[in-house]
Amino acid sequence: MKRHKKTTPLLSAIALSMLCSSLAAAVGAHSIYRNYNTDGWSQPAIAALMQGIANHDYPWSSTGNASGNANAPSHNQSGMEGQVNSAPDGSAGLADASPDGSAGLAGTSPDSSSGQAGTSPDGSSGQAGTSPDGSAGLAGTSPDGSAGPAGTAPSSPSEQADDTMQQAEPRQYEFTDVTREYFDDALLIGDSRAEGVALYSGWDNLTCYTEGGMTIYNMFQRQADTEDGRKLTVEEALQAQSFGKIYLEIGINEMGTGTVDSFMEAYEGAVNRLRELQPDAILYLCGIMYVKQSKSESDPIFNNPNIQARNDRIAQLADRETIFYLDINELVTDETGNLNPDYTWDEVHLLGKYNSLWLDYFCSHGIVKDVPQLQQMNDVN
Amino acid sequence: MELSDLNFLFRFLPVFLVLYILCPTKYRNGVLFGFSLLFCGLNGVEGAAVLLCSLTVNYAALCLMEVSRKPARRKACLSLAILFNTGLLGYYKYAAETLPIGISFYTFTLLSADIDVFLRRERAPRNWMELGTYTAMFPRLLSGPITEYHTSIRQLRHRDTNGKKVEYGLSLVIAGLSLKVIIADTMGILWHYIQTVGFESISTPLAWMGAAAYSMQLFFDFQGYSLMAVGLGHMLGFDLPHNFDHPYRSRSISEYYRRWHISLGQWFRNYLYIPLGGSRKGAARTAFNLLAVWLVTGIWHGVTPNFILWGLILGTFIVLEKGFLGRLLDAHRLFSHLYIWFLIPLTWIIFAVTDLHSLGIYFTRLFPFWGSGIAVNAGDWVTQGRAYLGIFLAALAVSSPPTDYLWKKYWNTLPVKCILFVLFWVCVYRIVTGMHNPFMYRNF
Repeated sequence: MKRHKKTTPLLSAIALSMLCSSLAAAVGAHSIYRNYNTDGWSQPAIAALMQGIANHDYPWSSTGNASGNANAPSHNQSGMEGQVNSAPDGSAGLADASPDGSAGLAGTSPDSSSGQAGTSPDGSSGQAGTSPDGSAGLAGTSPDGSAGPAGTAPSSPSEQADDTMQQAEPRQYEFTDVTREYFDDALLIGDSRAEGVALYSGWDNLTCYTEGGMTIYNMFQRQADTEDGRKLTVEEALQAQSFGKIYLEIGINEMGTGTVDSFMEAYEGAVNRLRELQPDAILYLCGIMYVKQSKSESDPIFNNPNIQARNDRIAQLADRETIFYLDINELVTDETGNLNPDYTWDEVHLLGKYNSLWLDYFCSHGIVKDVPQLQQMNDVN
Repeated sequence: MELSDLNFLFRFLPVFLVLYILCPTKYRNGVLFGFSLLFCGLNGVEGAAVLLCSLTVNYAALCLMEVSRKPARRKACLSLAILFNTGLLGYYKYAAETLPIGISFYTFTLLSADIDVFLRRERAPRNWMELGTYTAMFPRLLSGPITEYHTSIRQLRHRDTNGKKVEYGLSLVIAGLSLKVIIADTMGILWHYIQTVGFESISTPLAWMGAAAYSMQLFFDFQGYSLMAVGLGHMLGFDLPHNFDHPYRSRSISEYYRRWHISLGQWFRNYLYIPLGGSRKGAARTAFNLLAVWLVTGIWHGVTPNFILWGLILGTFIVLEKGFLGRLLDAHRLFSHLYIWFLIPLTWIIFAVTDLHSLGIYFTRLFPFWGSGIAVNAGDWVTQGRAYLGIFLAALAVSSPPTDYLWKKYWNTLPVKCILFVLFWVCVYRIVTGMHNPFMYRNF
């Protein structure tokens, strides 16, 4: 075999490739990689190129693949630092949710302030921002104070709202205690936090389609292990089997991706798809669990104000008729309002032995659809 | 900044190399020292200030010992230098909030200079910058290897490099980066997972997998860093010592630690064990000296009780190996290998888990007859085993004797260069996409 005694082919190849790739990245930074946040000068340009490759945005592609990207980057297991900050909606110059929790302030269509039916008729999420104190939807009026044209809030005096109320007359269900058998026809879909529930809660009657790194952008394409041992995608599995209840616990991996609005757009799309696939199931949307105080105070992305901003918007999707919002944070936070430090080692996930808290919470927040009818009958009698 | 940072690989190193090569030979130490200070400063201005202060005090002590002919004065100088260095290290290691970068390593390097000049093994450095370059050169600033002054200072004055040396150095850098980023960091994910789940909730097989994973992570992390340091040294014309020599091929713990972190072991042997009398003063004194050295080794790594326990357990086994255990291990080859592969991961768990209560829980999972777990998923090891089998096999493959043979024979051939080229870019990709952690030994 030929040996290289005097030349330096490896050094030359590495140097040349570094130079070429850095040039490609620098050129791409103003075009295809413009949406990738590489912290300005703190990282070499190559970081954007590698993020792009991870997201299937190649230098020779004509436009960024960030638009509606199903491969939004997943977090790594060492604490989710280094998260790629691409904007899944492809809009230029979008930044992450800001540290104070306000996000998506460029919205134009006012949102419902009632917390119910907060979606515009075209299915897109409400565009209103979230206030820094974490309360959602407070900007739900246009600058002139009137309700936006797309508003569907029951309290709105608009014609659409009247129509909605006449059509639906939604029956409001209240949470009640349920037993373990309640979960015989229940499905839990979610990321690594839900996977902890699947692996360490000790319940075997709850079906789980959970996987570390699952995001709202890729959840239907991720693998689901069905009861009969087949390897299907979550979408295929949902077409193959019916469930009475579906718990969706997702959102932490997406914190560094896009804005609250782009996240909610994908989230609503996922909820609508779940509704299409499982029209009879009760949908439980779980709020994103908080992180530990030290993490929240030091991380510009994975912090509790940002989480709360998204939770407020998720909560607005609940209609208390077929979709319900569950907030585990009631159970796992300490007196400071952050994830209890005794419950976690990595500041983000619950220790194995505390995953049963999720199921305790689910058990005390079940929906049994016959109960209101019985109550109504009792009231009549 | 560290050796596996993008900023180091894509900014610092290329700029430094270009300037270093373009610079006339007599100014190269200056360029190296300047960039080393910059490297240190980028990790924290306070760290750079501590380094400069330490360099100045030690240089003054070295000059005084060099010029003084009175033994008492020279002894006083040495005593003060030792007091200053150990005090500075002790303060920053055990009392201050942040540890200046590389202080554990460069302090030992400076102590070596003080002792060698006191013993007249070598002359004092010619100037302050020479001592600074020797002590703080960035390839080894973070975690060594620690060199002995009398064997290495002359490289500052006369060294040469050529294309082959540069190419070999770069090959070592990429090999080290790959060991760190691909193997160690992947192993680290399993260890991280075990900690995230909590020790109470892992099955016994997973506890053993965790012990193996942490042992492999630490080995490939530190081995990877050390290869990068040696490789960078080669590129600049230095001959830095290798820190590892296949420790898991050892047949006793004493042998293991002659092959693991060799530069630290040699430092303790030459500057502590032998001055204490070594093995020349009878069995009881030898045992005492060994235990003392291992106690100090434990304390050097950290002041929490687990490090002291770790050092004393290793010291005890090494003392036992001086007696009957050594003969037993010599006589039974298979037993001696099993002894290492069983015992060493257990000692690394003591090293890894700083809280004694958590350590106790981990040992009840390793040996479940001592207690039971909470919310244990009995099948966790199957899932994790499937996920990590490939990386365990890869770790075994790169540590095997055939890999050594192939590397020595073919490192300078085109196929190996192509593999290294690909590995470099795989590492860059993994660093960017977050599948990467800082070097573990920078915490010590």
